[in-house]
Amino acid sequence: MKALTKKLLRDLAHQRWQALSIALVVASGVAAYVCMRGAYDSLLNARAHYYARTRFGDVWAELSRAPLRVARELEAVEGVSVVHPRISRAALMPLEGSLEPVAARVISIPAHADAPINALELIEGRLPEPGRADEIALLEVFARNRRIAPGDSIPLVLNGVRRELRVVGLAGSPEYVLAASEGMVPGEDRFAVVWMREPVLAAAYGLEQAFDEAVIRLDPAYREDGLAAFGEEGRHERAILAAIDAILEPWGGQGATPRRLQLSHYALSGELEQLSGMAKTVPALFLFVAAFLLNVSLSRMIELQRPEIAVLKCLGYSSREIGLHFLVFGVLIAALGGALGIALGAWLGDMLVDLYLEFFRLPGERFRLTPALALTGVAVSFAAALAGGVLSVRRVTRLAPADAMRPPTPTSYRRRLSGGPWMKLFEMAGTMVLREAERRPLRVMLSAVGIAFSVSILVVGRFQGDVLVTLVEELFEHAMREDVSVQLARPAPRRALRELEHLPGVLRVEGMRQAMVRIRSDGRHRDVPLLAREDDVEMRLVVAQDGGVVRIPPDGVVLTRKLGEVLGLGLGDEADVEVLTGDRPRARLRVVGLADEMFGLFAHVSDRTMQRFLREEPAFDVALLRVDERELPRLRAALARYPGIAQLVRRRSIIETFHRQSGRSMAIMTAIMTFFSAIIAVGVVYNNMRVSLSMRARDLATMRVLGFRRREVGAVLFGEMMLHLAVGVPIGLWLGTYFSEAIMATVDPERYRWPVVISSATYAYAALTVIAAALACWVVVRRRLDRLDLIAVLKTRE
Amino acid sequence: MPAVLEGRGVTKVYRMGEVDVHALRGVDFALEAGELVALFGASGSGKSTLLNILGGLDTATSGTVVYRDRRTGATHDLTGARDHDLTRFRRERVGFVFQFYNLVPSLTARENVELVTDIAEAPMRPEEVLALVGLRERLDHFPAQLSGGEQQRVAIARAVAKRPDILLCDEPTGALDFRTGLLVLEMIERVNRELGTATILITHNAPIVAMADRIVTLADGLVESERANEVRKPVSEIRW
Repeated sequence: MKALTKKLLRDLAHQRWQALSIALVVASGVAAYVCMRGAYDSLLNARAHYYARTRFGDVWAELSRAPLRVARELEAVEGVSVVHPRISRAALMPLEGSLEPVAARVISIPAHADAPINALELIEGRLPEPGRADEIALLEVFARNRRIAPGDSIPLVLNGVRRELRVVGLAGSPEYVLAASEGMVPGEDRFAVVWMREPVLAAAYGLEQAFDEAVIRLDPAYREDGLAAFGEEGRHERAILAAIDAILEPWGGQGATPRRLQLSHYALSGELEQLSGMAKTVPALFLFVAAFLLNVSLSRMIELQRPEIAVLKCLGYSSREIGLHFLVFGVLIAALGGALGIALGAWLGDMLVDLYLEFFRLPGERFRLTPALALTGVAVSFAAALAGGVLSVRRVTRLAPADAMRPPTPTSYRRRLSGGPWMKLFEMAGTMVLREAERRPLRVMLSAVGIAFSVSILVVGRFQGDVLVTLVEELFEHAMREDVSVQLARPAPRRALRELEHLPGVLRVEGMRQAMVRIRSDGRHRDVPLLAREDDVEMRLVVAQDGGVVRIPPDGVVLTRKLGEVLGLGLGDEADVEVLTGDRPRARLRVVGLADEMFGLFAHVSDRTMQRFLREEPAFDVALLRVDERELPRLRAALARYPGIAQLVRRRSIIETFHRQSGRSMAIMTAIMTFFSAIIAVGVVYNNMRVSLSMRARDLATMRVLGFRRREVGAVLFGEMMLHLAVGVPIGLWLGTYFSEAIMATVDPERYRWPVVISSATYAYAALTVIAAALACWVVVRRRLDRLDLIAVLKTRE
Repeated sequence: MPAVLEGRGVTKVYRMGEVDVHALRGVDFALEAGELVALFGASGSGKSTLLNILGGLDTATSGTVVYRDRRTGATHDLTGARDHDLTRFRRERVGFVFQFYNLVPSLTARENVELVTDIAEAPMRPEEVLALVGLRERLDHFPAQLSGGEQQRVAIARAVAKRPDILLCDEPTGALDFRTGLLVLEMIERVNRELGTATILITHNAPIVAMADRIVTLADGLVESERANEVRKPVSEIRW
């Protein structure tokens, strides 16, 4: 082994703790990359395989009822490959022991075969036997949550008739990767999907030789499998959807939905896009800090090794050889960091994928560490090392060998800020800290930036939780204040509401009428719920972002402001509104208000406008109840007698589900981010103090000789650390807020428009965690300072 | 006999902080093959600056420095040489010994010598050259485990291991006591005599110049005087 190599290894061993702290930061960056990018790739891959295996549909079209020959008409549309006509209905599952009946979707599978599109992924048991009217397959997630196994019997209300059905198989479906996608807040135990043989369902709903939903596969040439399916403005999409809508219109078609808007796929894509965004930004943050730390510590090493560099130059080593020597030092640290990072990333990636798979049922693939991913991880860590190393190593090149033989010229200090009479207030240590800060403001800034990054990571890690909590509070405090909502399968006359008032435990009843409509303007359209409330409702209000309640004028329509923007509709414009059900009435309504709602796209009209528009008597299809909680079981029993109820939701159970789920992922996210952030904080602070200690050893020793105590000498380093924290922490809080806003901006604005809300608890957590990490470093360095024989430093020559 | 190393009108101006320092003001100097020259002068007279320029550690502000290859007879102008050429010159032709030894603290005696033998063309074996300076038993000691005199002898071994044409010694006994200093000077004398290495020895210690062939005295950046010794005094007879 060459002598220079031996020197390298011994230097590395000598500075092992510093080297390790930097390697850990590199490792965090690589781990974050491997974990997030790997999880993204794995999930994307799993989804692609799942979709391919089960022949996931490209277009969905709901209609009232059409004879089977219409399916053949659809097949003739250019670009359409396969059409699968089926029956798909909402139903209730009044399970014993649950306060509200479970909302279920019943879907038909062909009489003698598996579905040609959206095939079932059988997980346990088998499919219903053809000809057996009492057999069903059940969505696996729901079954597991409710502890239902093959062989069990469950009740199901089909078309108002209660039946006992036997579960023969548990299955997953590409349409329900995200289960409970028809409820407002996911609740895996509150939404069931039931598959039955087509003749059985056709008999139950009177749909023999007919269908009420078509699922369509397109020719590969017309299909785009990317995240954006076939694109916002895709030319194929518009043409195909228009052709399908035209064929289905006479049959009560409600407008075809492309895959990208299919609920489960949409949610999954959103999550994956967010993950992919995070995989790009978060690792970059870590690697920036790692490069910065490498730069600082290499610069310092070069400063301290001036005499050795000079000797090497005298002996005939070229600047390139010496520069490479120091660069390899950085590269070795990066290599260690890269190796640790890949291992850590694979481990975390596994957890992350598992976390996603708790919400998304994608069978098959788990986290995969591909060679390409590992190689990129290594390349990325080396890039950080080179970025951090090259700048400092260039100093070696610039050092003339004879220059290197001389001690560095004393740096010239000036009295600017630190010259005023107010300096008397400070002790000597404070003066030294301030002078150094004035002399090397860049070092203070860089160190503060490192600290700021670690603070910001904590803010980013927790803000989503804050936003969700505020949103839920906002939503349930102001917008949805009922205890129980009852959704009817079809609208009922308003007088039926009075009937509900007499049920046990009911304190107040309000009615709402809603209809899916298509609003057109300027060649664009959106399908949104049109909502009408009684004039004196108090349980469901239209709440704007500022918390204000939006009043609905007697005439005209109020649109979500975003909906107005999307369609180019402003106050006073006329919106072309078409109801997608029943007789499909169509009218032009004047836009009389724009509401700053926080999520979703809606249109609101007054009760009277709705009745005129639908040409019907006062009716409701959602009843909102305020109830006495103690009477709930009796209320439930009473409601079970009404056949027309499609869904019954307790507000409290939504809130509980939400807190249970978000609390868990929030805790995991916080733990991971705290871990990473602490590594960065420790890396920055510890390296800085070690640099200070070695650069100022002489000054500190002189102070000791002059009679300062160890504590007073230590105050110089401590003061410096506090200064860096004082600058870095506020910047970090600001940076964290900025990053949070940037991340929030990636969320589809048609879906959510939540303001970024960051709680003071999050700010405090971020600041205190980083300060605690810094203090822990201080304890270590302080012990080192005490052990160091400072007087001996004076004896060595400069 | 032609000079191995020759400087003409060498000047050097430093910028130290905010002042210009004229270290050399036009020095003429020649070193002949096999010769041992003592460079004498007070602190600040420009001795080290001249040595650094002659050794290719530094470049002159003006004037010329020419190196003549003993084997091929070719001459190389060091004045305008690029960093790359100066590095090669140092690597192949020059050995340095400093007042403060300048050993790499993380390497043992043997490894410090290996630093040179790793990159030289036809070096001596580290063990062989360390034996030459009497350190056969201390091969694997780190600098911190060696006395000052021993460290300086490692430095000499390191300087001569490459079989340089020129040996440049900057106050090699400056940090040593008399007895140890004598031992180090004996090593330098022996290398000069036995290997025929042309040597420049900086000192501000008058008695030491007696061991040289020639004495060049610098004062305030100029050659003040130059004289030859009729006979070189053996180091063992020098006292100070």
